[in-house]
Amino acid sequence: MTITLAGRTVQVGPRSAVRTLRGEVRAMSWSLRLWLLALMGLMAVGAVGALLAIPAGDEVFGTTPTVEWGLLIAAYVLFVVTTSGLCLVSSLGTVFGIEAFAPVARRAVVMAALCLMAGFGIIALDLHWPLRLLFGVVLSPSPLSPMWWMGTVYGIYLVFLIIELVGMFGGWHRIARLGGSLALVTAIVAPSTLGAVFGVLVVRPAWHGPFMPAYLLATAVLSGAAMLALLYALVARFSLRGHGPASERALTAIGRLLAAAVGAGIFLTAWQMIVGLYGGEPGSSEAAQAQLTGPLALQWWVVRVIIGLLIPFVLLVVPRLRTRAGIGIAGALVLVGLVADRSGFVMAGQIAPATSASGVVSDPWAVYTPSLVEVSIVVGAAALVAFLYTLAERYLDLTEPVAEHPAGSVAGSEVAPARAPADARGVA
Amino acid sequence: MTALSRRELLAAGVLAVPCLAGAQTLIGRALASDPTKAAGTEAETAYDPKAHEWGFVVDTRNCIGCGLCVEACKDENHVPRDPELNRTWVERHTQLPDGTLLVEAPEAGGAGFPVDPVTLAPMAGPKGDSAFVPRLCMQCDNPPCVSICPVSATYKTPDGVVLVDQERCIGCGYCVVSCPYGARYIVPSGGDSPTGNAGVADKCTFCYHRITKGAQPACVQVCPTRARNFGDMNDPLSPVSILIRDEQTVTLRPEVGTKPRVRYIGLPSQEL
Amino acid sequence: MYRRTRHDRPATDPQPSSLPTPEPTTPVDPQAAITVAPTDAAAAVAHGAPAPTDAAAAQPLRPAVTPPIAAASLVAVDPGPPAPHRRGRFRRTFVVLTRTAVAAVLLAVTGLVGLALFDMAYAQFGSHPDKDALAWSEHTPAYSLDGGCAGCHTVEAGHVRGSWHKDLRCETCHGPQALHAATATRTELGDVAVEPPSRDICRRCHERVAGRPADFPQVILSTHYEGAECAQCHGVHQIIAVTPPLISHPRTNLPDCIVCHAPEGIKGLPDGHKASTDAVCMTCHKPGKRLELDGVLE
Repeated sequence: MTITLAGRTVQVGPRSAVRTLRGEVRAMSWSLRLWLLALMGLMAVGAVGALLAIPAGDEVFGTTPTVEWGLLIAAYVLFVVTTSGLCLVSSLGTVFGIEAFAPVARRAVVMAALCLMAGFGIIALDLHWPLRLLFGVVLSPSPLSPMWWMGTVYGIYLVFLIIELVGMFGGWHRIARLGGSLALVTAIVAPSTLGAVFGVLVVRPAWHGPFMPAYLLATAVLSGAAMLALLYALVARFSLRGHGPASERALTAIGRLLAAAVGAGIFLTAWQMIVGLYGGEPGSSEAAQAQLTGPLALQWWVVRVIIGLLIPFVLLVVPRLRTRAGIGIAGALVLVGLVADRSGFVMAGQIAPATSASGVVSDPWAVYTPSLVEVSIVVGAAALVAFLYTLAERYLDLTEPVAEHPAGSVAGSEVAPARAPADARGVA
Repeated sequence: MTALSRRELLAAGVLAVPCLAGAQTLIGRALASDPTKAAGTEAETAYDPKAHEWGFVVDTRNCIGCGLCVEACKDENHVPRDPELNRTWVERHTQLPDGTLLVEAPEAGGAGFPVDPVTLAPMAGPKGDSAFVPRLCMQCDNPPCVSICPVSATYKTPDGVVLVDQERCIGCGYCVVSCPYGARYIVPSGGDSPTGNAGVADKCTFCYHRITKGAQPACVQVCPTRARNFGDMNDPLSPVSILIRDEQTVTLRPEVGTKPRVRYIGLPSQEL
Repeated sequence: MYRRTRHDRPATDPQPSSLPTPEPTTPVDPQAAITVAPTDAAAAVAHGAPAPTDAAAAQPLRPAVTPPIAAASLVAVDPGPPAPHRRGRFRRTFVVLTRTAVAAVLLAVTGLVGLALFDMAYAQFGSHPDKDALAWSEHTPAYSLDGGCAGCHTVEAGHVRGSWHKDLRCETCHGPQALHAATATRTELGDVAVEPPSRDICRRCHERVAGRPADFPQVILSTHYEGAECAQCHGVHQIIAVTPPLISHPRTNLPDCIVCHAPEGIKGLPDGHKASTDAVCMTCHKPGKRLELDGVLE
């Protein structure tokens, strides 16, 4: 049986599938094969972790009533906020008409969809009864609950992303544009609802207040720009489809945006710590102390500040270092720093509790160590995103067709044709 | 069956909705009236939650930290035996000479507080003003756990008890994180479980199955020194009404605005 | 079922009709039928046929209107929609409404069945906090509801009532007994979870621990008649506080007595013996004057 997939006719059936698979693998370079194989190994590890986490109530996580939200919640925050960020950055090109950002739309939306689905998978494994959630949010909603809003808005967001993807790759331009605008609006609302999940809790001084919704929205731009910097540096490095003057311009623009976002990140983080520490207020200064001098200090100083903010800032600001590789490395480092940022603030709000919980007195810090199952789930999810994105980069056309741009004529548009020949594809 | 034109089919679909709604209402009403008839059909009348306002007063001046209440709660409610998962527990608060407050709860106080056999002194060696403070769910009148539950699994009954629908709870842990008093935990699998469900939130229910039959919660019943007191605040002669009227009572963390229903007498001067 | 109109009539209709049908042998020619059937002279003459014979003329005349009806009778069809008539329109509307109503009811029933199945499958349809509260109120208690065991255990309850433990409930020391109260009879013990009165029970409350009110009776256990059972001096239900008197000892059961009556041990003896505050033992067991007693000393 023959079907047409993404413009190519594909044979379907067990023997033809094996033949196609073998042909595809043969067409890959050794490094690409190694990359995919490594990712598959990590995905297998993640699958084992996921299977262990599925039975409801099994104590496979390191969470306790004192620290109920652990690594999985932090990873969820990282993935879904990155999704929003990718849409925000790509909207600079599609909605706000900034020409330099025009080429990024497809890559951004594909990566955004993958990240959102990974985030949902991770949170489904953290919830003990995920199926009840699907029915519960619809049949017994709680509009007073920020988590209800977050779940609903992110669910709608996924629908809009899918609409946009279908429109983009199916050739229905108006639907793609509609999906894009809707996704943009949701991309602004959704991380703020996620921030509100943390921000409404009076009992958690590290999170309480309007800072969290604003902070997550700001760091959405940071993580979206970082992810795109990494992706476009890879486009340049491996001469992927669409590499040309337009993508180079995009990379430069992303680099500038990333520099601004890192600057904002430094600003916000510094003030968060200063205000948290000021006056030694019992209950709220302990959380800041936990990150500055307490159990989270190593992760905060080394990973979040130095690796995640200071080194990328230097790479992006110093002209001699602001090369293609420099921007890409800065993006990668920012993402690493964001892992520490998300887990840091989720932990900080809980390991300095103001009261005992369920009979356990934590003095001075509660102890939380992520279990192997949690780590394997997060690693597996990241590997899955990387795996699927690699395949998307290889088999889908992630360049923007010239006629798409609503900003009007684009001078010096894509040099590479919409469908690159087979030998120009693939990783060196 | 006669075939329908498109218009007729549309009309039928529109008409089906009020039919369905009406039938659901009738059936729902018929079913809803059964449970109250089924339960308590013997000599006693059905329990009316609107007629009661349950209250709880903890007198820390009387508490001796024996921990029998913690064990009783676990026996009565099939709470998991893990000493780190408790519906209620006892702490010892000690005002140290340097002004700091030392809080201890070894095994949640459920095995009593240990005495060091060599020094004959309590384990943590406090040399100051000590008191035992039993802790449990405050059954707040403005409960943060109720408003933040994404699927409305937690609710407050008319008689003032906050309960969790363990068939609807998804185990997200938001209520556990949001409780200012640390009263909740997630039930693990493979052991005792209050309703047979695992992976759901659980907390003190004021022994709802006992108080609706006119009895006292298990922790109140076994307390040897009247440190725990329970009663109906609608009844001016109940123990809690008398205590609230005659003694100075405070609530824990009043600044978070949760309006806790459990009141304390005799707390040490430095609060949690 | 499909409602037929005049436009759908089939070419031939096997439905029998009261009207005369043509003979199969004759050609189906309406005009010919017209000319053949009527045998009256007028019609025949009208169609230019030869004058009928006498036999034909003897047949009764048929009315001139017969031919069109006879022609139509060749094929049995229903007369088609009646001419626009008020009664017919009501009938049509009635039929349409009935069909719609039946369809609506069937849809509603299907919807109800589907919702009931869904409700059974997921048990959280709609909002039922009162049903859940009812479920919580139906748990089985482990501790007895009234806390009183005096109905059967009148003697022990009376002892407790007259003791220092008069404000205590039975289950405080004896554990949850709801099942025992429900299953035991005068002759059968039933399901009981009695904690035997032992030092471990008493120490939960009466061991000296910081934080206990100063006026609460508490002792430092390691120096309080260690080895003795609390009940030996203080009783089981009729709790009293006693201090065992110092006595001169009997020749047998010495170790047991020492526990209470010389609790701090025996003084002035070589290593291996504990010190004592009273010298009762010393009156006989002076150093140098060693009395060999059964299985005791040295």
